Amino acid sequence: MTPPRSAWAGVALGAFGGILCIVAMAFLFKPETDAVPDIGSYMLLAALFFAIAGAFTANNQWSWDMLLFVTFLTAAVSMVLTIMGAIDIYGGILIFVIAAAIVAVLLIPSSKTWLDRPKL
Amino acid sequence: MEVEKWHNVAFAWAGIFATVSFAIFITLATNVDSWVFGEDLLSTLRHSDNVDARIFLNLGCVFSGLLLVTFGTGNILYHRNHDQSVGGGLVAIAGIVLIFIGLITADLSSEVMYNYLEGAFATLMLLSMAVFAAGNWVADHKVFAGISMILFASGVATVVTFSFEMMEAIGICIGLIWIVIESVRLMIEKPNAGGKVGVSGRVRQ
Repeated sequence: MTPPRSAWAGVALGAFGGILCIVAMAFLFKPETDAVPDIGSYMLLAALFFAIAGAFTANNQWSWDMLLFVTFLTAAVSMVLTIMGAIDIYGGILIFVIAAAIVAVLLIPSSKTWLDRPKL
Repeated sequence: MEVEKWHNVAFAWAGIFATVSFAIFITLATNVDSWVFGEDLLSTLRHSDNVDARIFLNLGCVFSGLLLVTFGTGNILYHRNHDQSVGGGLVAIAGIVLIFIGLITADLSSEVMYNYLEGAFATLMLLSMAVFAAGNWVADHKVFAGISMILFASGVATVVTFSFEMMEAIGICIGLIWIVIESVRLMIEKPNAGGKVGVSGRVRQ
């Protein structure tokens, strides 16, 4: 089965979110301050985004239900970290918008067909 | 409890009217008094020198509480699983608490009692958010479940992070958004003709 365009969009958005979090983590690294919680927050979000990107590929690990849950979890984590001030407010909003866009991609019927296809 | 004919849309409108009436009354009460968002508690309006502010606050709580009880009852009557009916019950109890918050004026009770009721209302709303998130997920309303999950997490983060004044103001905004979203969810539930309701509203044979 050929991956639909929506799957590529999901991979692109997930990878973009992950790279964005890694870049933000690198820029915010200040050893002289207590930057570890901030860096850890971005690292958590990066891990979640890369996991989402991987879940759209041919050897995906999750069903559609599970991927939707993890995407909502990512959005919730970004919201919580923004409210708690662990990540920058504009960065947090951007990350939330990317997670919402991935939810929109997941709601396309071809994404569900692709993710719930019979696997070996 | 199962009913033959569904009036879920009417109950859903009760939820939307609850948020609209609360928002209007609180906006009126805060406008006639020198209340500042995030700096003053809503309970300071109980001791306002302006009688209109006190009346608007109490009327807003009582009207919205009555409508919230109606909305919660709608969720108990028209549910797809027990989580949704339990969530509806919690919203209805929260509505009753809100009515008491409106009825208990400054000369009738102490601040401790008032703060206790406010805390009970916030806890019940947060609990119902969590229960509805689980119920909607099982009932195939996954987007609504996800939104409830995000709002629940945001509510908990608000409680942990902000001062009491800011927490109350942001918490009310989160609660209002959530009630509107759950009202839309209740609105799109399709009639149940005896059997279980299909995902797109078709009745399963």
